[in-house]
Amino acid sequence: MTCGSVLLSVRGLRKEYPLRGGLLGRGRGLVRAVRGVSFAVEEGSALGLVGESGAGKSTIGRTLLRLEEPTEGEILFRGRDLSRLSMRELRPLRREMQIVFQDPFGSLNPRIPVGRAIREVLEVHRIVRGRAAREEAGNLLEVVGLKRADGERYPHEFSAGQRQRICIARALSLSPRFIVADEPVSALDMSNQAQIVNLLLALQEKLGLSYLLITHNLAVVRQIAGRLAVLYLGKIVEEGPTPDVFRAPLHPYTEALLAASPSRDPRARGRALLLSGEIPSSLRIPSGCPFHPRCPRAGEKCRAEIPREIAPGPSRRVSCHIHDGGTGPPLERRQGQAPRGPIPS
Amino acid sequence: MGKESLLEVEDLRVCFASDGETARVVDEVSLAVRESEVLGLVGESGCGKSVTALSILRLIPEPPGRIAGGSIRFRGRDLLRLSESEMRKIRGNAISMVFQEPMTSLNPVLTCGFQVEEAFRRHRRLRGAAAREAAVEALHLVGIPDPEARAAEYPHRLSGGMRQRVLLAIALGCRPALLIADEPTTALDVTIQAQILRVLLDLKEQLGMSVLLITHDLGVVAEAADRVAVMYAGEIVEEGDVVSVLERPRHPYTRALLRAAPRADGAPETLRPIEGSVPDPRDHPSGCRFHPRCPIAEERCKEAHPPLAGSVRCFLAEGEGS
Repeated sequence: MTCGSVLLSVRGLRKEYPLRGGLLGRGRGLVRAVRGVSFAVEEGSALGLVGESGAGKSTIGRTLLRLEEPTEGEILFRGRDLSRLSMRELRPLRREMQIVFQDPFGSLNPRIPVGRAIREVLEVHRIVRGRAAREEAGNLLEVVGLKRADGERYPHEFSAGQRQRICIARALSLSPRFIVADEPVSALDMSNQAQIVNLLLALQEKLGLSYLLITHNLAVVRQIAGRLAVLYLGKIVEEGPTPDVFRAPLHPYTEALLAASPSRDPRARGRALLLSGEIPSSLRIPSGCPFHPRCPRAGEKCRAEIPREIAPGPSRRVSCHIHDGGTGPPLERRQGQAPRGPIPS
Repeated sequence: MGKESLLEVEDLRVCFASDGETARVVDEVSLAVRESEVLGLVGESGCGKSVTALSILRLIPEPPGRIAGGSIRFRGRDLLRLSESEMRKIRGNAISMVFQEPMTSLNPVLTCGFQVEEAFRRHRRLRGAAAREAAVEALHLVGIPDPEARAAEYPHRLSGGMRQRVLLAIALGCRPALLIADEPTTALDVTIQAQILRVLLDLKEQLGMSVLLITHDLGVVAEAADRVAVMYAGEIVEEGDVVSVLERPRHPYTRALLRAAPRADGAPETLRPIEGSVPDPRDHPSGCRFHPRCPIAEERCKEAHPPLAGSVRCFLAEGEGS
């Protein structure tokens, strides 16, 4: 699937949101949503970005398209740094990168027929107008497995899965090379999920698209993405080829995510390793390794030192003391209580 | 097996009037939930799972909905014959329900504690400190850390997982005999989903209750259900114990669901989605309702409506029930 050449390369991406409020609107803190993230997407390939809600996945997706301004870092798309371009310079490049969102209900205007919603994109970007635009919108609907005549219908007349197809058709209207798919199947039931997954794969094959697939669903990632990056509190904690990461996860967080995904085997019930607690607020990032308050294998070193990123194998990387000289003596935990929230540093 | 049924739904029919037409959303559904078991009810969106669940508590909006026939016997009493005030004594008490949306099921202007207390005020006539104490205990029961502090907080301060726990505390406060859980983990991250399922199953053991678990996720079924009923186009098409149904599915629809669903365990496979979509309940296909999407349908499947025979509704069912 990979063709080798890098389409998108992100280096040291940061996104912070100052919290204002209180007396005289003074800063009350800083939400560090993305804390120095680097990755690359190769031409014609898909990178899966996984993690729990609050990890910063969607912020990264939106920042790539400059729907959010990055605080720091480079976003190189075909060699040009998007973060430095003016909005005018950005516009032609925007055609080449599109986004599909989770919610196919909220992404379509309920008052206009779906064919017109697609046509408008073509007209705004001055690709084609009038009759030709109508023709092209019909073609796009066919590409995603709907009928030309469906263009006359309104969003409420479609099922959730069909609406997601329409959103994909609209994203395809500008012939993009790169699509950010932000939880594209999470609002759908299983059989619709399969249809959309297969559609994304077929489009990749046919049009040579590249994807950044953002999801918390590991079962979906492994169907689509050749590489997988695991995000925790705004940092990539592990990255590698998807089959390798599934076979042998290196970071305890990846291990926990895999173990938490429900198994289809009722005989294997109850074997899931439960991850205790919840992801802390990005307002108060825990000291040392940010995962240490929830990590079953954390030691003293994990509380004190931020693990560096190491490359334990070809095209793999991980940030964890276990793979870098050990974790030190185990952390003392209060028995019977799930570690919860950040430990004050 | 051989346990007594706590809930027996028989030939339940629920219709909705829409634009002068009648939609048969639930059509002669029969199912039983036994003492201290988890029955999983699965199917695609629009199959009638949630309407079945809401009918049991008589929460169908009438009109446009109407329970057109059948019986719902809970501990031998037909719920469809009870008055509204008798029903109110059962809801949230002997039978309670949790929904998918932890974000919208709680009232944003009342504290979590107050909302948990409500069940005790209504069903146990507890007041003041006694109600507060009971609420804190319920929050503790569902694994909310520091329940006293959390009771004083408003829902927006809590994460989705914590809100779902609060909803469970409300539902389980009065120790129901039956919990109806409608996609209780669908909106949550996998890690939190695993935690909530564990809490649910632990409490089921601890309180000896039965659960009707509605989900489209076969992974959740494998993880939690003892028996499974598969629903399609308003009908039960297959039922059985969880291992038989997931390992030796007999109805083509069940087999198709299993092939379609992406899974995180086992070897990766190409997904085979079920083509087409669930039929409009105003206009069910003739014969077997699944025939237009069925890969093995024959001529007779278009004409005759298959009965639920030996726990599967298909003329061409593979294998015998075990």
